[in-house]
Amino acid sequence: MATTPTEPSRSPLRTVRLVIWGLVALAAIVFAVLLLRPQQQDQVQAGLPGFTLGGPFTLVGADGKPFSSQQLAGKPYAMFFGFTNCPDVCPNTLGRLAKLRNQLGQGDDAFAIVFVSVDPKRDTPEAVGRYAELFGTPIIGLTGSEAQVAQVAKQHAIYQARVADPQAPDGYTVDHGSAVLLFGRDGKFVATIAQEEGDAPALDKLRRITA
Amino acid sequence: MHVSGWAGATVPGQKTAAVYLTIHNGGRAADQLLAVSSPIATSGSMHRTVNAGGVLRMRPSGPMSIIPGQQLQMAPGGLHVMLHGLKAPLRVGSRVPVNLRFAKAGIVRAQVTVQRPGKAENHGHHAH
Repeated sequence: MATTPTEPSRSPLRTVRLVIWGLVALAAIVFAVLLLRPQQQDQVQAGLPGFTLGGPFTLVGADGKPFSSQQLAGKPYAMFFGFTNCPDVCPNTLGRLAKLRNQLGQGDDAFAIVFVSVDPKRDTPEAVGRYAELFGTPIIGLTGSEAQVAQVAKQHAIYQARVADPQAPDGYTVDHGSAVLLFGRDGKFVATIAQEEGDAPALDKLRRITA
Repeated sequence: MHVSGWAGATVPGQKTAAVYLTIHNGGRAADQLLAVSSPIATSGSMHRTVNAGGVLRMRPSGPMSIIPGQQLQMAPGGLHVMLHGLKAPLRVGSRVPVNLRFAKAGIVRAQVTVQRPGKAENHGHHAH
């Protein structure tokens, strides 16, 4: 029974080894490609690697047509997320932005005020359009599909969640991020205006984006 | 009870409006505001907005206590009355009747003026 035990087992082992090395090489190539591609994109799209606040988006305008962030190109803008059935902070925040733009004294074109609904279920294009008219100054009202709004909120690091409230219309309210986000002419995020912030620092920031 | 205040203007299609009341308890006993309603809306409820960690949350506030000689001041971003089921839009400059129900003082009627939201300073004011 003096067989050569290596002979039959040698060739399958070598095959396995070759296959493994082959897989390692393939994995290395795939990994390198995946690793390099998004890095290049990040460097083009953003100053910060990993996360950029803002960036291109598409929603639906008050006229029911798609609204692309390209329509804001070259113009500074202040963005606020809310909903038309929010009676307290939302209208007061937009009203305050309108007041601050007026105080800036550079006209309604100084910067755009963009209102994005976090309640697309109820806020139709018509509803956000009418709502924007409440403030007696141009305000861009935007809504969209639930997926579009969720994506844009995520891009802007705005938390939003529907919460049951039996006292509210339709039995719910929407919790949402409260900050106003300011973007420069180049579409890049510059600063936020917090709810509790005074008018003086808020005006300073608005001067920065409109300079 | 001395009651004054204002309501935020609305556009057609909006179902809700906020009313901000300032209530002075000129009596000798502490009282509680239990409910607020208005004939121009199907119902009214008292809410509090909380801005915690940059997230706005609006929640029912429950009854509001006012001790004698003190006043309760509602303000944007804090305590407010939410009217819902508005029967008509609230136009700037118009007057809105409101009925307040207190634990001791009973029903107190008042009128508030409709203002454009954001006209008043909406920060640095906290309800007491």
